[in-house]
Amino acid sequence: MRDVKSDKLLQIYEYLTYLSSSAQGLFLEPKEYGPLRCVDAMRRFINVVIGLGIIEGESSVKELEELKERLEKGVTLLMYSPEKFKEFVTELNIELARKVSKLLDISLDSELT
Amino acid sequence: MSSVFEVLANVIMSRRTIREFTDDEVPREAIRKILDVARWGPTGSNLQDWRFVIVTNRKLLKAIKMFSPGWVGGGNPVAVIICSDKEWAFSRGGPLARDIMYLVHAGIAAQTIALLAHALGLGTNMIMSFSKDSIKTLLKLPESWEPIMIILIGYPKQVPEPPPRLPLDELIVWRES
Repeated sequence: MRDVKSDKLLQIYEYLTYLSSSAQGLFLEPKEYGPLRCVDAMRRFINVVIGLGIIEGESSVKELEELKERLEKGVTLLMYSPEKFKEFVTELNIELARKVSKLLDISLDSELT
Repeated sequence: MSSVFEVLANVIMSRRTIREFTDDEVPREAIRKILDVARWGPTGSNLQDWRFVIVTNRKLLKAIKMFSPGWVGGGNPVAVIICSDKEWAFSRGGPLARDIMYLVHAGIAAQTIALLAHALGLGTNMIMSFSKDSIKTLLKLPESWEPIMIILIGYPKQVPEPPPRLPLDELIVWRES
């Protein structure tokens, strides 16, 4: 039988080694790979937190899985269209800002003009 | 009947980088067959400085993947690590071989492997984003061997659309007069 503790530790190391080997590679790789690795790291982070079972509630897990699917599609864009990848990253940040506003219950009455 | 050119062109143009593989095991014989032909590819001064490390051990593959940010996707591929014996290259080909030619040799071998695999119904993914130091440590490679590329070989689960190619006329220049 496999040791659950070491399985969980391995999941964490899987994420850490992704970051450490990315850090080493990015000294030489194209600059677009920086954003690419960040987006891919988000996807991997979702895998880790779901894998470790630290997210409570089915709807939260589902929400993160949906985000993960979007991220998976997003990382493939770079090879086909760097412009579309850039747009994807922009939209992602707008969307996440909206999400955080909701989570923190920030509700401004009007937009600045 | 198709000419040799048409057959070869079709193999080259229909090859895609495969990131999602099935769980089917790749027969050892297929890998041997591919590498046996690939070694007939050219090297400067006939150096043959490449060395091929074939990894099928699941734990080792997982460990390699952990240090290879360029390895995305799942399935059950075999990893062929194309290395160059830099000492060998230098002793027979001097600094040019050790510092430049070895990369060209690995590139030629990689393309040959990819095409042969494709001709056998297998898919490949050439990966260069990995920590060389970590891979050397994990595989306990000799000091003089440099891992240059990881080629995943497996059965394709998804075949992606081809990414756009630049028009030929933007790539070539004729000097005729």
